[in-house]
Amino acid sequence: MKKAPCGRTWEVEAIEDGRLSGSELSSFRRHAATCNVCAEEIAALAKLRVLGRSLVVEPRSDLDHRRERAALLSRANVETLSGSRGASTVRFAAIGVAATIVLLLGVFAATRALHRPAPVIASSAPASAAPSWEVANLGTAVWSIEQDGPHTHLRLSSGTARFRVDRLATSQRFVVRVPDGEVEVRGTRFVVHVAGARTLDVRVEEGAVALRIDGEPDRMIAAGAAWSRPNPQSEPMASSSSATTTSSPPSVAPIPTIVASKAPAAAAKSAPEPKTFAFAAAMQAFQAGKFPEADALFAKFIADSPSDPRCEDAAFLRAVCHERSGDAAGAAALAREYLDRHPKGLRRPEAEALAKAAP
Amino acid sequence: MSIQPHELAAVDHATWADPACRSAPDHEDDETLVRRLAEGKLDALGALFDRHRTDVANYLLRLGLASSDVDDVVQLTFLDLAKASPRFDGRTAARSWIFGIATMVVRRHRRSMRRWITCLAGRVFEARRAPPRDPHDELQRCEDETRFRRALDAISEKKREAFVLVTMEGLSGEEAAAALGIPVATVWTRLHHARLALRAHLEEDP
Repeated sequence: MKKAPCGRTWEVEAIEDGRLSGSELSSFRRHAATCNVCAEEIAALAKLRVLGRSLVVEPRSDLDHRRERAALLSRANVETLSGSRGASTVRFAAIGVAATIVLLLGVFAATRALHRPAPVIASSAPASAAPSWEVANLGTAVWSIEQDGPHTHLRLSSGTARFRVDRLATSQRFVVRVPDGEVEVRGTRFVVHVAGARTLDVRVEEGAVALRIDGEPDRMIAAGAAWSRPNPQSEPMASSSSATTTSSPPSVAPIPTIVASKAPAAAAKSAPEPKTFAFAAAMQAFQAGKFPEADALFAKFIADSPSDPRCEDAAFLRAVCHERSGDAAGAAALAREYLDRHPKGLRRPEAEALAKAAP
Repeated sequence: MSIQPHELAAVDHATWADPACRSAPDHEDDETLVRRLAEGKLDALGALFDRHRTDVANYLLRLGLASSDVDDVVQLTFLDLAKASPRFDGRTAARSWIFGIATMVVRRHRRSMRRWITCLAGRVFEARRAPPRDPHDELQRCEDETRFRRALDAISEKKREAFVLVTMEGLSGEEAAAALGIPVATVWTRLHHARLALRAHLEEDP
């Protein structure tokens, strides 16, 4: 590139980058109006800019954009639930090598506290001083354990896990550390759900837990009760005191007592089944492959809670249950029913496909 | 109560089911969407995709990515964005943060041998395409675009990133610095050398 004879050509780039202003900018503009070298430099940089911005992707059709969006959200959902990267044949070999290295490191660091994918069931090693406990991974939990004599600290980074802790001796402690607080137990069974570095809900099935969440008052949660992170637009969930949380707030999800021998009195068994539990029960049946049972539970949920926003998904999942059970005609009928009730539903494309698939 | 992604875990790809997402309101800015994404609200990811997909695709293409790879890398960028959302601190604009993620994804993509092979094949195909038989000005435009693409591919990756972000995507120096994780002065230096190199290549390539 030839050297410019004008000593101010460096200012051309400064203007192009927006680094000149005020009097400096005015001064250079007056100079450029009379300097051919600077004027040529300005034109050359402008041409580079125009050439660069001419490289564009061809506009995509709305349908292609929607398909790509749907594919992205599906992958993101799977990766959110699995906690792992999406499948990639390109990275398979690298993952194999990395897995071997990780395995070797894991063997070497077996006694250290490392974050690892949790097994379905893990329990404490028999130790006279350490608490006796079990934790069940409900599909996505990632945790690590720090043992300090009679004190057990389990760090739940993300996901959902169910804990069972035998009644503790006076010197023992069992604390579940979550990203935004901790849950301390005194001999109980409970479920913690963490996502996005925030605790979303804690449900106690037996015993009681002390819940300490950043920005929230400390509270005790008894058996049959639960705490859920409040929606910023809704009223606060918990009572103002740190006393035992009951199941009265409508947005808290009480659950039936599973083992009554050690727990304080739970919600009356004759009380109506809560909506959230009913939907969750239907989902559990679906996950377990019990499609006829799931279909019946979804149908009951729709009948009992017609105004619940999850009715749309329940209606769609009913069609999926029939499809999975081999009943294509039933799936098509339910899919058409879904389309009639939810003409602008999110599952419209999938329901249309099911409706057309029947022979 | 809004549908949580985990409540639809059972609906797998076989039924082409999306997560239970609703479109985000138009009044939500990017920073709010990223924060909601960090809370696990995938509808925010959809909204960010709607707003920025074209810009990201253009950026990737301008960085020299083969057009056949743009769609895949766009997907990877937004997936990485979802994973990185809890770490977004709001000190930079969300748009420049997104470009930063795209830059990292492209670098990772280029290190893949398989992609190099595909890219080479794509380059051969693109080089063999005949110029369009259009009026003279359209032909000139295509030739200029091809020459510029060759010049852009010939400069180093670091210079190319700085040039594309500032000159072509319109980011400020500070935003480009945040996206690339380098000081602002380094952005200006790389940009200056990128322009010198591009003009030299264009002069040598008639």
